[in-house]
Amino acid sequence: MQWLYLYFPSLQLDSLLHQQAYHQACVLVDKNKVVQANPEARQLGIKVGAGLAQAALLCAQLKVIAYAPKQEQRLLAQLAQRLYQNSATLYLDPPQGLLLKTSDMLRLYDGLATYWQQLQQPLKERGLHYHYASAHSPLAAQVLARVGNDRLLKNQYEATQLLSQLPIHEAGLEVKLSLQLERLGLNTLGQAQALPRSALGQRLGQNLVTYLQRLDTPSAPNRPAYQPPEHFRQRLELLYEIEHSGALRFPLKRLLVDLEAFLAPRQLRAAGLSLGLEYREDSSERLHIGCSDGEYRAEFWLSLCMLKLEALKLQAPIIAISLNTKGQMPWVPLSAQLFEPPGGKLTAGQLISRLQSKLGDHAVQQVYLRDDHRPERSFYQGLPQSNYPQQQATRCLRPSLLFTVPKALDHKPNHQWYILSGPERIQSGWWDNVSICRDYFIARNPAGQVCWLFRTPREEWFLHGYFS
Amino acid sequence: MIKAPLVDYAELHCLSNFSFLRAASHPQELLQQADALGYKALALTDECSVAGVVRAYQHKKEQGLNIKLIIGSEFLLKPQQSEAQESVLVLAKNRQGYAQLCQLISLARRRCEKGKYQVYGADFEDLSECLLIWNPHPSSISELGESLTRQHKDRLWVGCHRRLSALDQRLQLHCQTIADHYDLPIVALGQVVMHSPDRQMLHDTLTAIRLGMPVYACGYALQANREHSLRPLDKIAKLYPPQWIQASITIAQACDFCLSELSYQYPAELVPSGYDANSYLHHLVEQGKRIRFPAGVPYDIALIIDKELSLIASEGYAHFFLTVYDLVQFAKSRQILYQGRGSSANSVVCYCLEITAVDPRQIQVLFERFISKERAQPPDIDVDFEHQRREEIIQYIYQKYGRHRAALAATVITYRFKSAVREVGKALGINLSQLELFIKNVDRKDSDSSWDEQLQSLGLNGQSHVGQCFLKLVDTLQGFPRHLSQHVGGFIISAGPLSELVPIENASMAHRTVIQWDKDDLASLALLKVDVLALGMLSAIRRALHMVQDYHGHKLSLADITRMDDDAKVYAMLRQGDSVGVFQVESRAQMSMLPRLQPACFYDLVIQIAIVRPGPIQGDMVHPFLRRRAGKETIDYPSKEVKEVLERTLGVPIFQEQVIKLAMVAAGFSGGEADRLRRAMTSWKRRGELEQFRYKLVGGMVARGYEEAFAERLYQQILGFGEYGFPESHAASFAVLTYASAWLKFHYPAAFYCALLNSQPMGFYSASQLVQDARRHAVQVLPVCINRSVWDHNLEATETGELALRLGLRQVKGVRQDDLQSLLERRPKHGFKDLPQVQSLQLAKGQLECLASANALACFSGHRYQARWQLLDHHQDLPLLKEIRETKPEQLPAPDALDALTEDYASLHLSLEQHPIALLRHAGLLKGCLSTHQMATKAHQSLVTTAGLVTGRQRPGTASGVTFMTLEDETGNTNLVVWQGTARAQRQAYLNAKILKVKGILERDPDSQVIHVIAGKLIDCSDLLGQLRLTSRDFH
Repeated sequence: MQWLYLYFPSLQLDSLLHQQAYHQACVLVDKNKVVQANPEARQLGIKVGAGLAQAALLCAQLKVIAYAPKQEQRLLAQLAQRLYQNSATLYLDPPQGLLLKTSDMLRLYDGLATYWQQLQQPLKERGLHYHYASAHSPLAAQVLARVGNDRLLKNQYEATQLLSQLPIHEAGLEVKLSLQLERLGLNTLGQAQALPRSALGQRLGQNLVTYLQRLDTPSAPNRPAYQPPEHFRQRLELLYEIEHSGALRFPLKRLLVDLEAFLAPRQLRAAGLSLGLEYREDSSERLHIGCSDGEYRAEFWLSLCMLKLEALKLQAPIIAISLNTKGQMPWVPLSAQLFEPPGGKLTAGQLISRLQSKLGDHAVQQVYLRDDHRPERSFYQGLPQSNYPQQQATRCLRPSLLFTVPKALDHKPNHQWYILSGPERIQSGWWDNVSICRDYFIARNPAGQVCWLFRTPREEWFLHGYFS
Repeated sequence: MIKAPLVDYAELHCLSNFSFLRAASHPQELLQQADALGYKALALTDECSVAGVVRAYQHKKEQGLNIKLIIGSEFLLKPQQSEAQESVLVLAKNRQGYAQLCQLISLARRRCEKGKYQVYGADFEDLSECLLIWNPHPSSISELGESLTRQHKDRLWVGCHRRLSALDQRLQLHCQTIADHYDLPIVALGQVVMHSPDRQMLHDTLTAIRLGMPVYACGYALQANREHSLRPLDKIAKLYPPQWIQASITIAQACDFCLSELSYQYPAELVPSGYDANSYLHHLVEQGKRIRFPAGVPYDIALIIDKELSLIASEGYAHFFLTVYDLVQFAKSRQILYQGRGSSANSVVCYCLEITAVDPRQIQVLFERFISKERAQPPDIDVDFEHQRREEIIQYIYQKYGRHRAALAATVITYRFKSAVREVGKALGINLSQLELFIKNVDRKDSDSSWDEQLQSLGLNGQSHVGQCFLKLVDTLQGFPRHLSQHVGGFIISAGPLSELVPIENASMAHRTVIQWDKDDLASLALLKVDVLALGMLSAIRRALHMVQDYHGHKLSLADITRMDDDAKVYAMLRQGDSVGVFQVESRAQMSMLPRLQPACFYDLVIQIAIVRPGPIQGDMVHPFLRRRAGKETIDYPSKEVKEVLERTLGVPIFQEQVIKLAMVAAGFSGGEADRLRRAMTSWKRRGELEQFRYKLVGGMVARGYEEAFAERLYQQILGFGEYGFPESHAASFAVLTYASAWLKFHYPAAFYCALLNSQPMGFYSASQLVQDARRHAVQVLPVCINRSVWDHNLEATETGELALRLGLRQVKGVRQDDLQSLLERRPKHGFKDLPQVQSLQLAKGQLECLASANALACFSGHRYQARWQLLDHHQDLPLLKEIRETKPEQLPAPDALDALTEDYASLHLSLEQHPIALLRHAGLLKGCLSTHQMATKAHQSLVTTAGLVTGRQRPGTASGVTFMTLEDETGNTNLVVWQGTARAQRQAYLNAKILKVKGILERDPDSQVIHVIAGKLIDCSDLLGQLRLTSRDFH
């Protein structure tokens, strides 16, 4: 039995739910069909493949999340990365399967049972539901795992027996092919296997023959085995939106533990981390956390990250976080760095990072434009980005010096003021509950400055900026 | 501050929500608000459209508003682009100008696919009777000014608006420059897109929907403020120079067109020379009398005919009847079965013109009630045609009158609850899965909690800002028009070019055009339309009549069947509730009502059809009627007038006409008021318009000496009636088809079921259910056979000489008619002798396999698996290899009973083998379960267990919280009543079961002996049959 197949029927859902300990009925939905359901949902009779309407009727408080194939693929790769510690040869079988070659590992682990025990640990830690099977060929292991065999079979005979009793529609054939077989009264895999291959091939096509051959073929799949990435990079989608940075501790820790598991066996340390925060409204920001000496322990990085996060006010609720390393170095003591020669000419980017490391990331800011009628919201400051597309500014005249907070005038502008233009009425912003209603004027004050003034409906006057 | 003096102002640039997604108010709201603000006039100038004007016009009439309504339209030169651009407003000066406007719109619309348009500078040439306002590009100058000035020198203004933007001054200067350059006057415009500033939120949302992105990302595409609304006059006075404001009044005064001027002329070609319309109609009626009354016209009927004809003549409707006559004559010549219905269809004149088969001797319908002078409403005739052949009629109309004179009425597709939730939700950035969950979960029929309460219980935070915006926006957006679609069959046909009456645009279907008004608009303007509708039952009846002729030699028409006296045996069958396949009375509810209503004559059927409807059921009219019918309740009428109206339905108002008539005779409604009441009834749930009639109705009746309790009861009945009230005129026409189909079912069952099967999909029952019912009526059903079947289901004489029903090849899933037709053409007289002979025909791939699975090749011996296996071997097809056949083909396992059943359902959707439930019963898997047949002998209130295939789940709007399920077994159908509590507690079995086992209490109606089972315990037994691929008709 040289192959082990692991099948994760609810990979995306499990990873989502595990991080936030959710215990109500929850499903993943793709094109209005349920594609993954947690045990609580299945308890209520919600089956994978059911329509969303049906599911909703069975449970009105159902939590519904969109299925994200790309994200699931990332999860599968992350899982492979972790299992690579225990297994030398493994293959990704997207979207939800991993194939492990066991024959190489048996000597190391002194038998299949021990090896399997080692493998289960990381799966349990991640709260994943899985099915597994071991068999003589990759396809046999896959088919048996997918029907939930969940046994480490002793020999090929046992596997072949099980396969031959398998209903044809569970054999993992294309739907069309399996229907065709059923319409011939061939309801089990064994019945099909009993017929001459040539007769089958003639009638039902070469795919079926290939499939039957592959069931018996012990050789490795015809594709490259998994190779771990050289740099650590992971992303975690959050089940709930997180509004306070403190609440990021738990999901962040998960990423950092994976980081440690990535670095330690490679005898590497990270010189810096880049932590990405993805906001609900299509924006994101990255935090850089550095440690010039390099470090690999999760605990260490967690405390550093949390320090950084404490100082941060979230712009909007966070829906996902990601982590990658900025510079990995081997685990050797450093001393030469003290005497490195000073840098020559700096690019803007280099200057910015130099400044940032001296003054702190947030001390260096760039101004961005945003399409919004409300002056305060028509721009924002953010961390410098070199390739950010410039928005078009409004065609209306705007002052070059705008106060963050408008300054109230003691009294309404008198005859010494000269109104140059206006009123321009701006009344907008109901959607985020920061509505404004103002009449703007451009006026010259007694001192000759060209001012941007506005009046509120309550006849209060404010100075909002100066024109140059 | 000095208060500005009030000015006279007319708003000449105003869009309604018929400029889809660009404006946020209904036309009525705009006109109402402009009137309230004291505007002198309002021009409704929707973008390349006049679709909203009739609503505004009707509103002005109903509310008696003083404001003048100007009809116009806005044309963008680059309608596909969203940035600021040039536009031209065209306003109709008079009737001719209106025709020019309509033609311009039609021209621009017909150039493009549905919903789009394109105008060019040259298109504005033929507008001699229109006034034009040119809104130049805000920052550049085009050549359009040249051509407009040249063509319309004295009818052209430059429009300028002020919306308190920073660019106002620049625009004003720009307009002034242009005006000076071309020597044109300037007029003040408001560019109104909403009647009130409060609609800004909705307008922003509509913009977001139009751009397909959330509101917060729309940025400068949103309006910066709320100045695009109708603004108070003092503000207008401050914003614009007096001469610009005065110009708006000058223009408004010059526009003097009102929609009431539109009149309509019928096509003249229908009247042969030597006749006028009335004399020709007379002539045709005389001819018809001889066909319909071969023994001579009875005196009383002759009197009615004269009365009807004189009424038609005095109202000028002769052309209308001639038009419909022409259509049905065409249908008759093509042997397309039809039946007229509607308010005038059941007149004796229509009977003589062969528009309807309702025999006036069977029904005392007074034509006068339908066309009446006081109601000032055009006559209404809808004609149903066979559903598969209606297209021929439509093509005939286009061919006869031409596309420029005939077009379909539009249907205004509006935002309904689901679309509003989806679109508003997307605009507010709520995630899609969440929205779908909302939509799927909200039960609009739930009377206990409103939709917004339900949304909140589904997790919408109604307290949050977004939640509140969402609820408010969804509420307002509902009822907003989304786009124009084609009406199912309402044709308008005119004497002259239609596009001078109303613009025509392309429909989404190729070669279809629709006008910009819907049927209510046409009715408001008293324009006549003919409804050409499709009805499946007519196809079935025509087929059955043909078979009766072919196999029994009796040539019959619909009118022949109705002209025979009521057949007591047919009514006896219906009274048993034996009505599968019978038009209108085959539903579960109708079926259980038949034994209670005990129909014995034609008029009983008319009542039966109208009474088992949501309207009468909700208005609680069914039970009083049943009690009175059974003689258990006395009937007293508060007055002679009321008695006259209600006597034929035992004092209970059942028909829409009765309610209207009651309002007139008892509450003193005028004809016009009664007509408004009728309209309000059809839409009161949406708009709550009925409330305004309460005072008039109850007060009017009390003033005429009726008791308040009686009046109040009537009002409540009208409320319950609501939009479901069914007109007697329609019920009478339907009853003809009900009787005809029941008559055929009783006398010629084989032909009847055969015709129904050939007309699928239609009606209430699946092919499987029809076949089972046929067999219960002693019709022998023969299986599909490659040597005996033809494409359609057919009749076949058996050895005993009886007619049996042979299933046709059309029932086989996956086969194509063309392929099999060629097989049938090449079938030898005595059939194919073996499979290779069939294979040698080289049919398209897969066709024969389908036949094999359906067991249609059984005549060649061997079971279906083996036949399929043999067919799949494509090498045999090659002639060279024919000789080197495998000596010993593999033997495949033969199907057992369940396999055969599974294959039957998979390839035929029905089986002539054992019923699946019988299979389970014989296998001992349903111990203790009674069959439907056995339950018939059980006593009322006895505890029973039964099981069956779930063939229907129905949750009628009338019965809150109850689901009716139908369980089918080998002996018949059982009706199951599942209360909400039972369903909730056992959701899984209730929703998922394909085979259901039930423990419950049997109930039996003492009068009718109708049985149903009140469900207690539900057990899902679907697993018993493995993967029997059956689908049940669900309510979701």
